[in-house]
Amino acid sequence: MFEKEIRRKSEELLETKTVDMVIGYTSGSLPFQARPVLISSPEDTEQLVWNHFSSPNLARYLLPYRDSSKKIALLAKGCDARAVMVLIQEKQFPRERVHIIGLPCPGMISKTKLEKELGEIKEEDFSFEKDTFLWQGKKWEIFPFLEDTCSRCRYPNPPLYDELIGEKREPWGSSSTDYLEKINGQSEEERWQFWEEEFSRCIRCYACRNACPLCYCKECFAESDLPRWVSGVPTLSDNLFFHLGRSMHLAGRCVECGACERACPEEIKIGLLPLKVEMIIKNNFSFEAGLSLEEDAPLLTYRETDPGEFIK
Amino acid sequence: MRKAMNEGLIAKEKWWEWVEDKKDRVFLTERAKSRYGKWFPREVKVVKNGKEILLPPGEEVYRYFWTGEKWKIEEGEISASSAFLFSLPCEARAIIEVTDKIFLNNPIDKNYWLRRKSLSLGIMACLQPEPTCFCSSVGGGPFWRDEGALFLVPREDDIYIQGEGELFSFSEGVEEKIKEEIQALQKKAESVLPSLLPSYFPQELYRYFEDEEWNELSWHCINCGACTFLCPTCYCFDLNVEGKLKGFQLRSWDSCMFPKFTLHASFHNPRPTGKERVRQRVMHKFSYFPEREGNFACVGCGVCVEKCPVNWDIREAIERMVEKIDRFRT
Repeated sequence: MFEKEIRRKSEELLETKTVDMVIGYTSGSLPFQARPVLISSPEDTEQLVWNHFSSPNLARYLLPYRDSSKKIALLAKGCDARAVMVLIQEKQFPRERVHIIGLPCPGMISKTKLEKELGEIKEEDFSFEKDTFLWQGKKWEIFPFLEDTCSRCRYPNPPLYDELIGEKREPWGSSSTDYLEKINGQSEEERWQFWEEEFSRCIRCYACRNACPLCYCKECFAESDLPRWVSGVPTLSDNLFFHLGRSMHLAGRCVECGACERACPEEIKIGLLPLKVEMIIKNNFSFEAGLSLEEDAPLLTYRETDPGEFIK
Repeated sequence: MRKAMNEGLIAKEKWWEWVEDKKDRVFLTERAKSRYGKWFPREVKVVKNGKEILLPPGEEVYRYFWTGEKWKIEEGEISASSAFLFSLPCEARAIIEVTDKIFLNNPIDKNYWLRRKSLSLGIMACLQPEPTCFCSSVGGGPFWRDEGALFLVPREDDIYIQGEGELFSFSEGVEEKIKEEIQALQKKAESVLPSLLPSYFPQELYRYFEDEEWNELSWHCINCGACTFLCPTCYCFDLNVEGKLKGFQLRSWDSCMFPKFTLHASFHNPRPTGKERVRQRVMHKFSYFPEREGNFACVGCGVCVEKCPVNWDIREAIERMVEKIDRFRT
């Protein structure tokens, strides 16, 4: 899966001092996992991996270097690159200090789904090929095993990059509307029941927020003491308030990478919230975040010519 | 010294008779349920771990109000009725060897004590350690038991049981052959687990407080609280006053992974970045607590490893520090 090319390119970038560091993925300590890694010397680029488990959004790892002078090469799937784009637009990271190695995303696979369907599995028994894998002598489509958040991905190809490794690909075909239709078709009561079930499991560990590349507030409203908006106790109402508040703060900014949902230790379907919000933004403002550096984000922009009466 | 304990076999029917009768007062941990769910009625309450019962995520410590002349304080009433918690050995050890030592030593935490004294523990043997398990590194084991708790090994049609209590009225005694079988199960489970950390580890680790290794170790941690909130031993909490002239003191879980955890009123923060917070989590469990209490504040259940969104693995941190210590140890 272009792992060699990624390593070679990273090595070259470091050797030529084009960048000071490369942020990518390396093998995890558990099967079917890859973890973020920081590489600063050319010989360490051998550690880099790129596979169906390179799931965390790496754009968030740029943020600690915002006020440094480091130039960083970042491996970026479609969603990571979109998040970088929003960070650049929101002046959280300068374009000239990030070198985007764009990677058309092969789709991230859910370990939970694999285990659920196939039982006890070993990583070494799997061999992945384009959109399929071989396991126990049988060929399987990867689509049913994709993370929910990835199966509805509309932008597997990075819209912004300094170079692209791999071949551009088409989206999977299952769309966000499929997911939303399920919910939209439900009665208010059914929806409430669904979210009550989901949010009552939340332990407020903030893994969702911290995995999110665009949740970069220095002080999150959920942790503010003065004034105190939300209690730290994970009651249903406080959980609901936190997640809805977070959704509103991300409105028109969320790139639907689903890092929040994949980070959740309780497997709460958090990714559905921004899906709905972004659909509303798209319908009202014909805007999607992280697709263009020029286009203004509607909720972060003020125009005197705004047709909305309320804003004047 | 461990005194000889009762042991016996309880037939499936007798066990059901007992557990059905108590089902409203039985708690079962998620992990014990995944192994032994079929031994418990569906009505039992499933909890993540003992902490959820003994130190709930949020509780009122006391209520207060201003009478117009002075402050009045009313202590909350905890009604803890007797209950049973069945868990894996690591999870029971988290209570007996960690949280009990914190909340039942002077000063005694009243709420914890009231709940704890009415909670009987049942330890379910761990026959199949998971790839994330490392109880044996930190002084526990898949057959770890305590004289204050029941110890159970569910078998095909009966349960081997050790300890004290009413269940023994059903007990039928144990043949030598069965004892040997139990020992074989123990050996098998232990064989897949790592070896005990060196006894000098807690003391030596502290000497590496300023070590550069922490920078690299902590780099990919996103500082969420999944590990600490799901940890059966992490007991840190926060206190907040809810209300003005009338209100209550609220105790809620806190996490050393959060920036606010150590934020001073002056806005100085002694643990300003992820590095200091990760180091604190490791130091507290593997140096400060064991230096003070004689055992690690980690029971090696591996939940933090399993649930971490970025695969931050505490075992690697420990391994790397052990390596470092051994390399320079004179």
